[in-house]
Amino acid sequence: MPRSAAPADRGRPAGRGRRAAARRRHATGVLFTLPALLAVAAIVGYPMVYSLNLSFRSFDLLRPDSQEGYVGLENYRELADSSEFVNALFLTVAFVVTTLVLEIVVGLAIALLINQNLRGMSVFRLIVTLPLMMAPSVAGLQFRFLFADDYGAIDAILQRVGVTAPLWFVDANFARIAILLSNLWLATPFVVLVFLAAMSNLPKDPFEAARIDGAGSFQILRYILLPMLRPALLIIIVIRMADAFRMFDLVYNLTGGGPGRSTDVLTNFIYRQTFVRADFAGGAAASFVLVVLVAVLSFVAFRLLRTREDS
Amino acid sequence: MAIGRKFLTYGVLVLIALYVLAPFTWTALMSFKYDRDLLSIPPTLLPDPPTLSQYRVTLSGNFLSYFRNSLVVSTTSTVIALVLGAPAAYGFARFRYRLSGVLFGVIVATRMFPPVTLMIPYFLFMKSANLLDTPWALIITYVSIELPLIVWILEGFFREIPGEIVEAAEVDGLGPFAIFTRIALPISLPAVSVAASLSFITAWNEFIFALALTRSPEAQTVPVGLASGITSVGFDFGPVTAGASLYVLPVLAFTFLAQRGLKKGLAVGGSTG
Repeated sequence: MPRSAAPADRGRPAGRGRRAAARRRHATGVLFTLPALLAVAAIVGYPMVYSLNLSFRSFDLLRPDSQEGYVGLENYRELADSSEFVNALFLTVAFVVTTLVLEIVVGLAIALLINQNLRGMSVFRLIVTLPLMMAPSVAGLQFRFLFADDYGAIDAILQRVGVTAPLWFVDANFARIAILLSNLWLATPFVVLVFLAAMSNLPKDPFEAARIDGAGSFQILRYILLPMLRPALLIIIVIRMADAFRMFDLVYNLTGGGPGRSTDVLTNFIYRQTFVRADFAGGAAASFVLVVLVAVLSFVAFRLLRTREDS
Repeated sequence: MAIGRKFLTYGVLVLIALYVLAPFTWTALMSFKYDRDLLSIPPTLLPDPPTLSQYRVTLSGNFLSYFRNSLVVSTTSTVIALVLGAPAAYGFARFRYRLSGVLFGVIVATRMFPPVTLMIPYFLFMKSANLLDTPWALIITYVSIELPLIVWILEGFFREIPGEIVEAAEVDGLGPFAIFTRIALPISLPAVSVAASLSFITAWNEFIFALALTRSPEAQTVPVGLASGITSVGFDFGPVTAGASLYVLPVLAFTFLAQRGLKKGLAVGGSTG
């Protein structure tokens, strides 16, 4: 992050006075930021450390203060042996990869369409971004009403034209498609807005030069536009990947992880392990697998996509 | 541009718009139907005749309690997060000290943690503090999500305040805190309101903490109340459609009205990310 030097330092006398002034400025900075730092330490830092510690212990909800029961990596070993956990891990990674590709392709396509100099585009931009602030849990309910067998809108429309609708929540693959379509609805507005913001800052010359040189639309997209959109792509991937890994509300309300365990993502597994089976230590261990996964993949994405000048 | 391509653009965009509007529209249509129309197979597409009976059931049930809790929790947590976060953002933006960059990075990076990781310790802490199933359990935990968001957004805005303004105030003998409250905050009011709105909506929409930490209508918020309406026994989804429609209305209105502010917030968030 490029940051300009603090402007108030300019024009001060050199020497000891300047150093004292700098020390004062540092103290002021500490004072301004300390309350927030303490709050983050108390309500994020401490709980994380507590939970990490918990994941190495055996835990009894009825005696939460008991300090004995250090079991090393036992909770993690149990997870690795649990086919249910491995299934959830696999489904989560598959979901994240699929939804990211979908979101980026669809989001870029919509941004390219809206970015054209045509009448009415601001109206479309407004409509497309409406789901931006929607609660994922409520979106889950709304899509459930759309997809539901018998009383859903999709069923109603298909039946009227004489087509038998798929049983969305009985067939594993259709349930997954329902989740992907709903998540696409929730996620695309952000992707479109970031792409549009990036496109509005692009220089015009390279595109005109390429067109004069006889490049086709696809060549311009592939060799000029996409490389220029790399910083935007990095923001989208890092933020949306973290969001996709933590997705819970939508699945909880739309499929509940079913049918069977066919849409049982990690967050849903962790919730069940913790609050249905009262295995808090196992839930904590699984949640740290998720944290490590998100951290490692975000770092990899960052390294792969970072442009040269930034490094 | 060729006419054909123009038509194709509009055609595709109209289809996309229909897809975006379908969930809101269908839920709203359902909310104006009688039970017999909701349950007929296949269901009627339009309410025939329309009725407010679902809204009457919703508003006479627990919905108002959920709604009040959502308002109280979102407002209180946003105020706390602003009081802590705005000075911090100002400090990070204008008074660098050793490690301040790292600490800023740490605060912003907490956004990447999946909330499900914090849900487990939060449940145990709130249980031992006897705060389970109270609005305070949600107020405290929501600050953990809102604070990084507010610091992230406002830091970018405070950095853009022209140095001359601050220097002039220093010459006039104002201390750093007075400059913050009397100059920096007032001229950043649009940014502060964007940050506050985003923070409020984050709390308004939050689901997993509310699901884990509350269980009675005295403390539950609307998202959890609606979900319990649909997952409990029986097909009582008529009132749920009415509640969901009432719930999304303010968020839709905000998204509609705040297009410019949101775009700016995103751009700044992007440039600091």
